[in-house]
Amino acid sequence: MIQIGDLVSTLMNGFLVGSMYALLGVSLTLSINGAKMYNWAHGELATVGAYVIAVLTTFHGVNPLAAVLFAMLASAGLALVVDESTYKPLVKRGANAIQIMLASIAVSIFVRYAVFIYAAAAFILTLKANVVTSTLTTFLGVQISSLYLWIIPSSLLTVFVLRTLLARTMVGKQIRAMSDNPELARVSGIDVTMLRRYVWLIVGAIAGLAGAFWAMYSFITPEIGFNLLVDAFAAAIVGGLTIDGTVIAGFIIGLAENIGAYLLNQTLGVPTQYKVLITFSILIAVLIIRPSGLTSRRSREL
Amino acid sequence: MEKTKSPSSTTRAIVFIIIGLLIGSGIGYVTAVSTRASSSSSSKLVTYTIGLASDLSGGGESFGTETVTSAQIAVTQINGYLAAAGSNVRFALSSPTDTLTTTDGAVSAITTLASAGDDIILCHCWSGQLSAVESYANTNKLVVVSVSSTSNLLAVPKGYLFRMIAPDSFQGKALTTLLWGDGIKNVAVIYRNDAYGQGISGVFQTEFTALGGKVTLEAYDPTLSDFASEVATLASNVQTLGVGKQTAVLFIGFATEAVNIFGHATSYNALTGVRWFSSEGPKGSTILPPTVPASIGQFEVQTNITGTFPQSITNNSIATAYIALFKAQTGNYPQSYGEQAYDSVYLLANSILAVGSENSTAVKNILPTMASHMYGASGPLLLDSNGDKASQDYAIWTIVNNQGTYSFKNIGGWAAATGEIIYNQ
Repeated sequence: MIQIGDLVSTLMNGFLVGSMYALLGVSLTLSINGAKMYNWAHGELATVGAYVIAVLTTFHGVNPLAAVLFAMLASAGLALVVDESTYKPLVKRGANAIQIMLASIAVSIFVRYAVFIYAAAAFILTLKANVVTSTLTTFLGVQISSLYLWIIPSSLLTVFVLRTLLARTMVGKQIRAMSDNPELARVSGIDVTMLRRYVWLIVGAIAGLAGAFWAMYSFITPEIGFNLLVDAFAAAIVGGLTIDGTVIAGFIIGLAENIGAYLLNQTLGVPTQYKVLITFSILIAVLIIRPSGLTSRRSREL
Repeated sequence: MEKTKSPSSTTRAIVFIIIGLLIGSGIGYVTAVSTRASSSSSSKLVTYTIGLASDLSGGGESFGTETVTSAQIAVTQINGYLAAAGSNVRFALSSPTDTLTTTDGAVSAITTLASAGDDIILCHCWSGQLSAVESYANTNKLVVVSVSSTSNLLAVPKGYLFRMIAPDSFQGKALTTLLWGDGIKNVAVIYRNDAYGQGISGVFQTEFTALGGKVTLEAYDPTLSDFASEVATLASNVQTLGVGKQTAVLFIGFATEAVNIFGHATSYNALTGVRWFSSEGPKGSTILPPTVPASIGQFEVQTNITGTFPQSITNNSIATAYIALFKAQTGNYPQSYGEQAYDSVYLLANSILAVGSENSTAVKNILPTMASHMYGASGPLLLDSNGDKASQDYAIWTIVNNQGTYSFKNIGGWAAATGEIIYNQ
């Protein structure tokens, strides 16, 4: 039987989870457009960010805000290192898209198991960031946490800052130009090598932020990023590989997974364990009805 | 003349070569056999190795570590007895192979051990993992003794596979007796959707409804990252059943999922307002502060979470000695499956000694007979016709907060012989 309080709770959770899908999806979209590759190690950037904030706040008493910054820095650094050490050399040697994608799968596995080894040795295979939250209000028997007020606006603010950076700054305009036509950007005098580094730093920082938020919201494991990658890809594809579209799609998926699963269970008795099907149903439906995504990418637009 | 002589000398040469190869093979075989039977020719010790596969990472890590420690305690003891008796036989455990708490990990671990020549294996395998290795083990004649697989779905003859723990029908009955005895009439069950969760929840539902109780079942996919919508659904199920002293939640899963579900449950008054019960799955330090936030520890104490776990509850000198050794070695009391691992090593060692070799088929054939004459830390080791332990007691645990330090506490037990709960004084 549907309980209004529980329904509101799933709605709030839908927005919360959707905002994190949106963040991860936006950074994925940026890497697909900016670096021209489907990075399967993207989830691991979030995993690293999640573990950094969880370890710093739980075991070292670091202020959560400072820990978030450390998480973003760590993930940004990892993204840059992986590109410089793996992807860029492959591109220089003329590797095609499939070869680079396969390399990213290998990187994903490598990083995931590196975190696995560390977490197992430190007995922190399951961990949550030690961030003190309060109950804002209790609505029909459900406590509404202050976390909602932190994560959802912060995610939207991050996307706004990214949009402003891409639209208003010289670097942003150059990234858009490179995203549109890398060769033309290069012959126009844009330092695409340096620009690519900026892209990876931004991608890593945002993915790390998404991971950090997830560690504040729920428990993490070394597989957390890989598990979230499916939703991030779904958000990016459904959103048409644009920033605005990915944000909208992220919220749609987050809400659909939560509210959809709850309503289907309480009205039709569909087990909640099948909620992943909702994500893929949306993905398939959008690809059939509107293959370009909810908002298709026009020229010089990210 | 030379044309006819040449082929006959060639034939003779081939015959000599074949005879030479046969003699060489014979010598090689004899040498190999004598080498295998005597790993240390100078001391003439014969060492038999028992393969060890266990969850050393993932949700079953704490159980898997306990299995390894307990098996090592047993081997050390056995070797001590053998040395004191002047025997030239010794036992060894292979280096523990991680089953990762996954089915793929279990298959990989068993394959690795088999490749290394270990045909007799002790495994901390859950039911899903044991199912996954069943075909490979039987095809390759590997004796695999699981200390933690309990699903009723596997309560069938399994060839070379044995379970040193009784099926879930026992734990389902123990939980039913526990909840019903505490005055619970309505239960919202949330369980991991695998052989383990399906097994216990299925038995519990049958037993509890037979007594006149009401049960709602909710399965979750344990591979997901978050269970927010599952917990919201659970809260609605509890409200439908009616929040109060006669309603409870029964959690059947592992620690990794438990902390996530408990974490979300703290937000729902419906879920903090009823008692919680659990199988042995989450019992481990990973669900206690400081590993988890204090709010979850408070939730566990507030809801008086109470669970069952397989352990002998009779006064048993073998169990007492084992527990003392375990505590001396680790500083902690064994949580779950340690007794089973300890007993399994003794059973395998006795079977190998009876056979006089590591012949897995011979060990498989003698193992049930040996078990029927043995009594271990977990009680009588008698196996049923499916190769599963024929009986199992369950201890009852809860969580207490002693001035900010959270720990497990045994408060009683369910005796398989009588089907009754006995609370500690």
